[in-house]
Amino acid sequence: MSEYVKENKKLQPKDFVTIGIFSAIFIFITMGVGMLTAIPVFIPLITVIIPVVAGIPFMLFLTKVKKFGMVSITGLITGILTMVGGMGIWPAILGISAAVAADLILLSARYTSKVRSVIASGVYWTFLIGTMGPIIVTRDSYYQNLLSQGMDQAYLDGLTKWVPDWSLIPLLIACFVGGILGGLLGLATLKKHFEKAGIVG
Amino acid sequence: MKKTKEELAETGPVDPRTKLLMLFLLPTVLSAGIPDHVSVLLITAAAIPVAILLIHKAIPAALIYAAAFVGAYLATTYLTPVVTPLLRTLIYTCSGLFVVVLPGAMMGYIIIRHTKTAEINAAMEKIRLTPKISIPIMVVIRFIPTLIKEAASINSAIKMRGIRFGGGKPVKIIEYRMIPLLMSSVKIGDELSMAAITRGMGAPVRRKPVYDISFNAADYILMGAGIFCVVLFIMTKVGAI
Repeated sequence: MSEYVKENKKLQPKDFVTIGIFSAIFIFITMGVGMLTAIPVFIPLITVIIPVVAGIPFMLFLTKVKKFGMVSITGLITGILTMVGGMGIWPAILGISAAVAADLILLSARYTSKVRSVIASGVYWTFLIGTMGPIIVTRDSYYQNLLSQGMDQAYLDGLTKWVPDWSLIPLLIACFVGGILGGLLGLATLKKHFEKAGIVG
Repeated sequence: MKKTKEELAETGPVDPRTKLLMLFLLPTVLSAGIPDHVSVLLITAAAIPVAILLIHKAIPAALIYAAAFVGAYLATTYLTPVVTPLLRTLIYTCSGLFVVVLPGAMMGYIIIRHTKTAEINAAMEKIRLTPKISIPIMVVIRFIPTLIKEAASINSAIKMRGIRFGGGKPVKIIEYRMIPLLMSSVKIGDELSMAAITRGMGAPVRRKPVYDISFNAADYILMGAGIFCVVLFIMTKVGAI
């Protein structure tokens, strides 16, 4: 009996499959919306668009999370796979730290509070700031790379115009607010669709 | 009873561990930006997926990929310096990015199309990756093609009903696509976890993979090419070349 209880606290195969399914959905959304960044004006805007679009799946994911570690592993997997997708190492590092922070916020309410899951959604999506890392923090060498690959100066000017040096903190706040908005949208949608269908109970 | 080597299923001609390594290695060495005069790094990195595809006898895929790469490479090298700025931006977004992203993307294609999920599982067990990470990664690899198919069929259903742009309610664009996608994803997820439990995932014992994986000559040559890329990458980073 005691062994059963101990086993149940650990993550089960079902939880791992859930993590995989939702990681795939988040990667799908991030990559799809990320294609907009070919136009410079969309680069700062994706910090809001991605969390809002991904808000519904994220809140649905949180209803399935009942144990510590699930959100953290999702952050790790999405981080690693975005790195493989060619976005550099920043999203991977930030993905893990933001996800662990979100997980701890959820744990503090034992995964039952709706308010804290909205806050956790905001915290989780701050990892998108990692995609801005190379542009802002190492701007000179990043531009040098783009130029050496044959990139046009006009795109770089657009980048300087739309993602200036001071924008790191505002963009971080934008990610957070985007996450909160996505979370609220997600909660409303869950109530409208999934509770009726019996997927969320 | 311990299975002998002959009783284990044959894997593909390239060790899945090599493929996984390349999947991580190629985007890493390519994403950091490569100066023009180190094109040998670019070409070696691009040749690795071609070699793997050829070993798998996927000749059409290898040819299409090689042609796309050569075309994009020639366009970036010889066309961009001589055309107008507007055209240059266009060529860059189409081909410059292509050259850098394509090898990694091709490795992803090889993993999805030419590698069985059980082989990848065997590889991840062999490098002692914890199931906490290996099971989600396998689900992602297995699930992304399904997700694309589901999204495409939802899209065509939406088109048929004529509510492509929300049917006059633009806010609904996301809702109309996301809800059916999530409904079916949750169902597929439940089915996948049943299948996983049936196959003994998460059992308290160490699973023995069906596939016997081992390195052979092709793997050592591919690894050599990979190490060559890493050496060039480090030399570029410290400014030696």
